Amino acid sequence: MNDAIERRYHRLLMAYPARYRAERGEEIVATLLEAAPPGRRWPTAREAVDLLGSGLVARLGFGHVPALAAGAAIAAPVALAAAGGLGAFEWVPAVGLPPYYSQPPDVLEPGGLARLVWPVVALAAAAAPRVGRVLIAGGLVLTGWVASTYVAAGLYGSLGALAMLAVFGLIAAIGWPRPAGPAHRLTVALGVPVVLAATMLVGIRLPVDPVYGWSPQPLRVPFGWLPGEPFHPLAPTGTGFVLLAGVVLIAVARWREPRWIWAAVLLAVPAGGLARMLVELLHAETTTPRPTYAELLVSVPAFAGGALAAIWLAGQTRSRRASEAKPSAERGLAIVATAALAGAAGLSAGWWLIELRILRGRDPTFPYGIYEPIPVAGRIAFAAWSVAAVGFAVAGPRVGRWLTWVALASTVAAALADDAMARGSEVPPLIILATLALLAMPGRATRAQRLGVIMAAVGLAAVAVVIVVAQDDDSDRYAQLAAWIAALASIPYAIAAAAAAVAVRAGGGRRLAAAGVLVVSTVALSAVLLSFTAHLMAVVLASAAALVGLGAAVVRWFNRTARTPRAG
Amino acid sequence: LTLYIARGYIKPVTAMQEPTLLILTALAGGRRHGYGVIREVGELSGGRLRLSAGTLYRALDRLVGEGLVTAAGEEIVDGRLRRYYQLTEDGTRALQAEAERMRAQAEAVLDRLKDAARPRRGRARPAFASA
Repeated sequence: MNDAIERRYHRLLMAYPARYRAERGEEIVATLLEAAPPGRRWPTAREAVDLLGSGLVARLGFGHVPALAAGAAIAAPVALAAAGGLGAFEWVPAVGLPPYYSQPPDVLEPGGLARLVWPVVALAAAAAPRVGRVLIAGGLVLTGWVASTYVAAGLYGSLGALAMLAVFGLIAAIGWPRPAGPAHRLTVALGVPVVLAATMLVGIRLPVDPVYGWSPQPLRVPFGWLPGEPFHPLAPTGTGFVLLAGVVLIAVARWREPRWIWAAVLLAVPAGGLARMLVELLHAETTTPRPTYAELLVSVPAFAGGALAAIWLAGQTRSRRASEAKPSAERGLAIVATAALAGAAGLSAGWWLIELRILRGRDPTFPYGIYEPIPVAGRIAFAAWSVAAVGFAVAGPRVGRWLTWVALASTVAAALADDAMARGSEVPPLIILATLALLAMPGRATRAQRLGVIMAAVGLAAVAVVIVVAQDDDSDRYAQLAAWIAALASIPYAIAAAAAAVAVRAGGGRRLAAAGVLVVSTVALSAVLLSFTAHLMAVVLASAAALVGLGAAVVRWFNRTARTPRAG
Repeated sequence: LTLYIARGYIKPVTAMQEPTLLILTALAGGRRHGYGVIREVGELSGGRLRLSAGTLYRALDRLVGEGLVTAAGEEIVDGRLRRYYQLTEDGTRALQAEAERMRAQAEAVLDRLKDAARPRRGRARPAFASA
């Protein structure tokens, strides 16, 4: 009787990392049992969500960074409001107009459901904050399920929007404050219509050019109050930019407070993901046939911003705990190294799959001259990274480190062996290999965690496999795939930079190497950014500057008016 | 400075979040074990805040990490492990500071309310809605 519930609690505790379980598991179960009324046989839904969520947080290492949880709590209501508003926006045209979708949309059609669920979840969470986390978890599950059906059906176009909804939802789930105060609830309740209205406004203002096939079809507002207004489906881009500007403002205004910075970092990721669509938008209006890899890397600024904040934060949190700095920095570096090596392995596996496709001749002429098959040496180098990750996991750190050296050496050799590596395409394989080499540094520097490497690598590779395998020979989808992989490739730069910052703090002999990584990652990032077409870059920078300037003016004005009553 | 960012995003009501405050307050009464804290927090909040175990231990881990709380012995009761926690000196100080901050704030509010009851002087100021 009582054993049953105890066993179930123990099973839920599997969400926590093993080490934590060993240390705290018994105690937590004892507390749970004491809190449960006698005769209960099953954990409540609330307990289950709470334990799974807390376990996940512990696994992600959030608990080690003091301000991160507080930052997530700040970001959560905003994220939920954004998810709600964007979900509503995505859904409104879905009911309104058939041509944009291949099938007549239906409220109960899964895609429509996954969008509609977010405003519903957001408003319900605002109304009943106690069950907020459960509601958000439900929304995530539904979105995940719909996304998986999209992948299976090869509908990648809708995947981006869904992914951003999910990221917003994830932030909300991690940080949903308990108890949620009136301010949190108000933010969500008012934020949903505000985001929706803003996005629709942008959608109406954006010019729609139906000439090019790439250009999205105009959607028409189904409501009477805006009869027949063309309605741009990429409008969430504008919302992303506004959000990004707001996030930059927070980071600037509150740069002394880690929790605000963390909130900014968290929100920057999905906001940057939305802003990424700007490139697609601009290309809809020029004669350039398609966005290139490098241009799609417009999401890099978001990641770069996050990386810079992370560097600074890593320094902050470390220096505050100067007494225990060394061991915790070591640990942080080990975690980062694990992620880095896994990233290298996953990316290289993904590229290999693309190579295989081309080698098999299913797609002998890659559409727009972006891509040339990688020379043999490059292929070996790519494979070496996957081998290194597997080696780490199977044969332990000593062998793994040797294999990492081999992979590094073959990367360098490949780069030197063939100048085709460095020319011809928008993002030369050299840059990809440089990314991998960058990842090697922290990966080589410490003991990576064995299981973590293989799990993460398999996960990443699996994503790549699903994407590649589910492809048909539609070139549009190839472009999208390339965009996602390119966006993925920008993450290692951020990781490498953060790792370097941690290592610099950790001191010792690695300081020099870490500084080197920092410089290299900055240079690599700039190199990627510089391959933008000039006018595009100018547009991006100008609009970002205008937004920030406008925001700063508003802040200054508000600050002046707000400060007066406080003086009294 | 707080206000303008708060406007678009959220208002940090207290510098210390409520569960944190209540957990520290619960421990101010002496050392307690996990369930003891949950019960005490429930009472302190008038039954409004029902901490669940995962949340509690997350908070405790963080507070232990910040040096505000420390473990204070273990016991086996009915064959189950109980670990006790208590406030450190830093924790007591932080709680004290927070309480004083809250009192100062409450007093400021009461003063303002008293002022509002009297006829208004000074220049008119544009009112802005809190959103």
